[in-house]
Amino acid sequence: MALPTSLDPVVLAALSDLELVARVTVDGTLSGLHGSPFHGYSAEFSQYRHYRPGDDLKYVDWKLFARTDRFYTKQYRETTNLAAMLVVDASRSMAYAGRAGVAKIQYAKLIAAALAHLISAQGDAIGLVLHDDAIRKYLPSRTGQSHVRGVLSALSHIESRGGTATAAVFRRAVDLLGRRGLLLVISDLYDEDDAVERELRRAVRIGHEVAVFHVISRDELEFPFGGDVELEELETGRTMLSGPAAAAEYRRAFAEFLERWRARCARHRIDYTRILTDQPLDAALRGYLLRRAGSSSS
Amino acid sequence: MIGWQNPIAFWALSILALPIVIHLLRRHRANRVPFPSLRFVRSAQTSVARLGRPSDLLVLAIRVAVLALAVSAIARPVLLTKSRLVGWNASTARAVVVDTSASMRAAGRPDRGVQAAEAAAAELARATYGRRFDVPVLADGLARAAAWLSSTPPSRKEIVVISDGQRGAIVPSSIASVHETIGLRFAIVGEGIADRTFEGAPLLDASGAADGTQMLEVTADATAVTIEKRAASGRAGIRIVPETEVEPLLRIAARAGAFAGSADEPVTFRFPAAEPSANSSAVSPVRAGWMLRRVLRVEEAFSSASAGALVSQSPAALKDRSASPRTIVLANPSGAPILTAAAVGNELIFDVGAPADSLLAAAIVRAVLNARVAPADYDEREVARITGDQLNKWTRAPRPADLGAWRQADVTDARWCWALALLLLVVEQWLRARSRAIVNREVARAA
Repeated sequence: MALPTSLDPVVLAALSDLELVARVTVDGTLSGLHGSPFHGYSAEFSQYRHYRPGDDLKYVDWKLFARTDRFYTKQYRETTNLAAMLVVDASRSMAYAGRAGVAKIQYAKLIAAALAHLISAQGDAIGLVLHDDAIRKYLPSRTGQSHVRGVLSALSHIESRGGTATAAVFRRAVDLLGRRGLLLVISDLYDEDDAVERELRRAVRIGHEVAVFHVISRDELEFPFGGDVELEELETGRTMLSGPAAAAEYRRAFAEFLERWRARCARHRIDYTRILTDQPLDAALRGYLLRRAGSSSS
Repeated sequence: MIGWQNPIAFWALSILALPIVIHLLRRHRANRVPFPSLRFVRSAQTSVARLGRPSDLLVLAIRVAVLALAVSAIARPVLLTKSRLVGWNASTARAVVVDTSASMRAAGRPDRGVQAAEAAAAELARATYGRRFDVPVLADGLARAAAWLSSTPPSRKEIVVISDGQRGAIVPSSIASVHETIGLRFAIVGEGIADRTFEGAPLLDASGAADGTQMLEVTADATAVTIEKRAASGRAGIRIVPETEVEPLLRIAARAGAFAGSADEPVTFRFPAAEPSANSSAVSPVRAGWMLRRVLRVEEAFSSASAGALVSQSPAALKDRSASPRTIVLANPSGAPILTAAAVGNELIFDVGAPADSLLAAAIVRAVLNARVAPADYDEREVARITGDQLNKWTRAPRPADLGAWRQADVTDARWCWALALLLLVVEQWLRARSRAIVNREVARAA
């Protein structure tokens, strides 16, 4: 089947079959990638083979070279799958769609489903933490198709509500993951920045790999209101009268917010991906996967 | 200095409040819009507060200025500069008032109407703005010309009156009604009265002789009659029958004032006491021209003065000469003739039916004598003109256009207002485009 060159999030969001969406997305995204972007952390020696130009020198068995005067490369067999945990923000602020037509929570579901499908397809374990100001759904990190379907089912039934407590939830998710693994945070990060950063840093120090998918709508970027509007904050119901005159200051503050998160993640070696809800899903995912594939091969 | 030809347009300045009101009302039309987070909107300001922001104020000021400029353009501004004044004063608005009164239409050589037309054409050819007014009454023409000049574009304004300058045609009040800034000139055509003195008829003295002559002096101001005494030349051309009545009748006529007789036009008065003419067959009807004129003048004199006591003969009676050679000139109310006229050779015979010693007889004698000369009659082409000194007094040069002349300016500076408004609209569009570009840059940078 010929896959579309770009996956319109509006079309994908309209599909009720999240598994189908995930498969289409992943198949389209991974086409052209040479090899898996995910590697396990625990590997078991399997065999030697003759060195071939291009092999990483760190896998050359120098003791064997000393004895035989020949280059052999050690090969390992992954005995333990990657343990990944999706931490998806389902707070009320994620319900915002704006002019893009796709709510942030919808987009977050698509990303989560695609990642779950991708990780599961490689035999790795995937878990799920759905939260607002508390954990609303927790599925431990496991392998297997039936488990993935459970993850996708949980994702498809989730509705955005309540406030946000990303820091506390993330701390709990790290604890629930148990062993070193991959934490995939999908959120709009409307929380106490310092607290969230502190928990992310803690996870990295523990040894987890953390990737943040910062989901925002274009309206949040542009603040496109031509006249006076009474803005109602989704999570609190608080209202504020605003208008075009406040747009410039808003845009500046929001750009600073985005840049601050990018810098924080870079500082702690956290992969940071900013995703706009009107951009094609495969394009949003491809950037992250390419970076990850690059870092894995190095 | 700047003037506004249509200041009523400034009432439209009230529309300047429109953009301001729109700015204010937009606040009240705020729609409630859900938004993910207000943490970055905390410094948002309402429209009322936003008015104080420089960017909004600038756009608002530009929009208000555009409207103000449009209103100003409709108000037709005129910028008063020295060069514009010089331009105005280099042009001339000339109203040519041509007199078409009866005296101007009288035949003459050269024809006054033709002269007036030529003069008017020449005056109009040299004017920047010109109009001709043909009027029978110059006072009306001056008023109409002044009214027209008040509406002409700024220039030196002048009225040229083309007339024969007849006295009374132009009066000081008409001149005074013309605004003092309007110049006045008079072009006089045709000929006026030539001052002259001529000799009138000789005057009768008590003896029946001529002892003086009327001297008539004709000027533009008046006709003066003087008596020039001279030596009595003897009674000639007057015969009264019977002779006994001569002295009292001629004395009375002379005292009342009468012309002397003339040998060329001999007249005989016959009274009832006179014996009949020896040769009655020589009597013939009045036919000679001078005789007929005299008879008619006598009849006219009595018809206007007799007040019904006497009846002058109707033209029909005068024609009934075939029956009798005598022409009845006067009759009493019962129809009895009082005065009849007939010719005997070269002599005009009047038979008077009144007694010689009556006052009526003396009146008849005087009337017949005075009928010798026709009343003074002048050529109608001759008009008594307004004096040159008076015309010179009224003549004045047009004054330069003053600063108040902008009210009639035909070219205004409204186009500059429109151009500036257009420029401001471009600036406003540029500001909006720049604002959009800034937004796009911010978005691109954030994305």
